[in-house]
Amino acid sequence: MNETDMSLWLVIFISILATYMWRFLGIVIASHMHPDGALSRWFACVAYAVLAGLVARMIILPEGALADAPLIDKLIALGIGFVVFFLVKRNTSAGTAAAFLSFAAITLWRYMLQA
Amino acid sequence: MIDKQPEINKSGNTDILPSVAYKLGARDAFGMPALVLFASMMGFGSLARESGINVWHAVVTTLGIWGLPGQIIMVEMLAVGAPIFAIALGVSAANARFLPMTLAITPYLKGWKTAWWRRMLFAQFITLTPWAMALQRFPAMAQAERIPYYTGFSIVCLTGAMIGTWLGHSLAGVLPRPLTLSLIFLSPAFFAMVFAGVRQRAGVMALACGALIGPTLHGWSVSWGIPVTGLLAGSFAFALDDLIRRYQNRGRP
Repeated sequence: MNETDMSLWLVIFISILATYMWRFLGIVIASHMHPDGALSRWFACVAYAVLAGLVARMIILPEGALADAPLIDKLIALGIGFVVFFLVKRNTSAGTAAAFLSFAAITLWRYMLQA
Repeated sequence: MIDKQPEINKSGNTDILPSVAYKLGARDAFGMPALVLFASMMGFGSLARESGINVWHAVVTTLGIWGLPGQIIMVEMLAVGAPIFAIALGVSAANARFLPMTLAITPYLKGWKTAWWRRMLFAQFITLTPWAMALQRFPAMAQAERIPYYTGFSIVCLTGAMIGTWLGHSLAGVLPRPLTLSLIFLSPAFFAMVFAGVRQRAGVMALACGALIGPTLHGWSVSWGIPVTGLLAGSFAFALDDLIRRYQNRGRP
């Protein structure tokens, strides 16, 4: 194992700890929590809001791995996905597949235009 | 892990054994959920290789962090040569969502008498896909079925994710760029559909507020925009739901 390899393992190990810390904290707090309906409803709201914010950011903002894809492509694909989702009686798989295929088709089309 | 049958099936007239619940969970995962994790982790795997980390690093990262946004942040920060402290902080902020997620799901396990290390192990398996599934299915499930169901579901997802990471790492550079992009797009698209299926009023409002505020707060802080979004939007949605609840219940004892 060389030095870079070791420091990479260190980064990974610390990242894992930095992640697990939140889960650990959750389990510890929850086991001391009174079985209070309102409190856990609030936590569910916070969790949903965090996740929605995260997903919206992944889709809307031109950053990270999806930076190369124009916003309009992502929105069109997602729109088609939602339409199929509701047409097929709220079927998650159908909606996801439709969004994925639309996005793949648009991206491929752009790629071929460039080439 | 399942060494005896449940003494009493608390809430259920459905007499499902843990082993059956375990298989049910595995079967529910064996489809779109595992496929999405497989595909999006393929995206992660190929990204990881571009950042110069080997296949073992990548697979251990998937198993250990078990949350795509944090994993992506880690390899992206590695690629730009960020200091280790900054990486830890970035990953931690990206994964702070696991705190409210754990707090929201654990009350369903009240009365779960088990060794502390099993609770710790359960905590490691809290991640978006099984969590969202559990939040939808746990209420209608008997106490004794929940953990086996979750375990079965998680094991299939994790297996798919690890194979995906390995395959993505191996195929990096071979996969055409449009396909890599599409694989990465798959996970936000899947989550958007999962969220579109949420029916409870409080959840719907929290999702809508979060989706609106999340990208806005990004300009304020890249790392802490999302956790703060959760706190603001989630609390607002909760308060609004509570207000409507009281309004509807007015006059009743």
